[in-house]
Amino acid sequence: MRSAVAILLGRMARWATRLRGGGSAVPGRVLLAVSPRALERAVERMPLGVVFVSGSNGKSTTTNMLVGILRAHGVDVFSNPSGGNLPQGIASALLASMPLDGRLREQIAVLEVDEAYGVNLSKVLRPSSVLLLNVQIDQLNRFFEPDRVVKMLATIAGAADAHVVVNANDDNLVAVARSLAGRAEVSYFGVDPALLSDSPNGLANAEVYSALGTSPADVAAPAPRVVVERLAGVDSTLTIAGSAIDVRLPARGLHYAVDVAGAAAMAERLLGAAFRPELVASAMLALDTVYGRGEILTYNGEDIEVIMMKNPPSLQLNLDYLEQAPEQLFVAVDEGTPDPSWMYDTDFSHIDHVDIVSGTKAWQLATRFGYGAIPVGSVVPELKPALEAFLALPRPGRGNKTMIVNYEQMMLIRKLLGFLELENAP
Amino acid sequence: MTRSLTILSLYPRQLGINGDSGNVLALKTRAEWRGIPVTVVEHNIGDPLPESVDLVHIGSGPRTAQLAVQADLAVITPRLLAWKNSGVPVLAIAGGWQLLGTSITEEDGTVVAAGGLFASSSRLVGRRAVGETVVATAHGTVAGFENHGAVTTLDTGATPLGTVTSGFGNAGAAASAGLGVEGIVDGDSIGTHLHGPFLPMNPAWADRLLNAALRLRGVDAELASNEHTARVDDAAEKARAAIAKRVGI
Repeated sequence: MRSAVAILLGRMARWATRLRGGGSAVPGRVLLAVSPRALERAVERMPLGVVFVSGSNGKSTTTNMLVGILRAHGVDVFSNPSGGNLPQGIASALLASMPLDGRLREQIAVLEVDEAYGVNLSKVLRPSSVLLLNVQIDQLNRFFEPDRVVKMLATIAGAADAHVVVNANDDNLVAVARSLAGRAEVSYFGVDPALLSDSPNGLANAEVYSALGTSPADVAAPAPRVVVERLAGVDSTLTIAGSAIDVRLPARGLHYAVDVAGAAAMAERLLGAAFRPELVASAMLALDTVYGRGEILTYNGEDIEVIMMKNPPSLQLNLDYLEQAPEQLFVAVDEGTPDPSWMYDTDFSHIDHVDIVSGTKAWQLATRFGYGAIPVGSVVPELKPALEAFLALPRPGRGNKTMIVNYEQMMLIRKLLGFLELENAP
Repeated sequence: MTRSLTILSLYPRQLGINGDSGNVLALKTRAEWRGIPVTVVEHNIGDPLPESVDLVHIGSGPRTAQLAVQADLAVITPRLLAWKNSGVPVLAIAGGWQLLGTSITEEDGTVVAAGGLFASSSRLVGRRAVGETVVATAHGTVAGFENHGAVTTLDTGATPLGTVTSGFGNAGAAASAGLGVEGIVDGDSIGTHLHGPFLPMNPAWADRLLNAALRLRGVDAELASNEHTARVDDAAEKARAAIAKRVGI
């Protein structure tokens, strides 16, 4: 009874916040406050169990891919929307499809979970399988050091009793997999060694310092079940369960191919004999772009490519796989990136200038570009005039206008573009 | 004497997750902008040291990275100490500074001897000191970002880099509201918690280190401003001003 009341209250909150626009975590908070066991109850009878997807980078993209592959196989999947990877976000997502008895009707829940919150979520939701993508330098202001993330992911993986699927090219994760007590079956996905060595900065995974005491060099390298064999722009070939499969990636970059490999490897484990490699290719073609990951915004009929500067590794790989130095480039970073010092470790050789630098960290970025011998056209910390000046540039002679922005600036830009569109409406 | 400098960059792989490599870049670039060629020698675990160096840099990293380099650092410490005593400037950032202090006390109370290049000792604590920081120094206002989990105490008589105007400094997250100190200055050598990185954001200190290194080489260098330095120094000044404004100064 209590859970039905909680669900109704949560739904009311959901309806109220929708009317107001935004605020998607609030209904989840209401649900969890009234019925703390709501999450646990929602998923405990799902026939194919609960799958967690975690790691520093690619959680949203890979979750989206895994859901797509499972659905292509006819599986009824529950998932949380991209980026909603904290408990209240997951609870909010549950409200949207939860019957009043509080038990999800789908066959499987595929959930993207934050590395830190995932530790407690794994105790509540008891994932049967866990897909771990990578350990990279990310949010040092929050995580302090990569080793803490390694330990968090080890705890999350330890909760699984069916499958743990791990990136074979991430030494920290290989050590995590080898430290598991053996309740779950471990399998790997990875990149062909020659292809990996062609990548200018590899996969930008974090160094292993001491990790869990296992040095991966001591033992034979894991044999991945899914391997990225070839990459050309957004076209990639993967060996999946013995078959060569051509896939179209959502955006350029080896990291996206690795995300497909992780999703395919987990799908193959979950589905067993029912898994069909060719459905990975069709699922990739049907994917919606995950918000702000290799996204194209259209403004006044002009395409603008948005590269999200989420953290050092994702920025590095996005830069490494630019087709050419953008003719027109806008870079904006604000307090969503409290310490942009790490941009001194970024290889910016794939850009040759920046037209406009913006955001509260604009002058810090201008300093960095100055030391990198990358000319900066102008520095305009305030976003609106900076954006207007950039949009007012004539269309580039080749390619698209390109923006490298952090998440918070991207959200503001989207808002501003909508606003400007209204202003400019005839 | 040739007008060229060698910078020794210690453990860039392990102690290089906070962008501290920007300090080496700033030293190299600012010297080259003044027509002084620079060689950067990266020292990794097991590497032999060069015959002589003009500047030493060590960046910051997590505790596990500190432990990973500890044994190699113990091997090279006598040479580092001899260089520093002969006047070679050493710049040590956060975790790197801790490694070159006299001791590090773990959270469980275990005391580990450190390099002994700086008259300071660090005690690791659970609470991290994270945020933008402004420090008043003898060479102007310094700004940057600190992210460390230690309380560092200077030995009696040791000189701090400056006084904390806003932020945590050596006292770490347990810092009281009073005026704390940040960093250490010993001759021309510096230890500090500041990222940003420190030298690109605070070029007066970069030129001070370069001047000291050149002086030691017997080069009477006049590190004048030019169009290159003026451009980045203007940007850095505005970046410091933006930080000062954000922290309410």
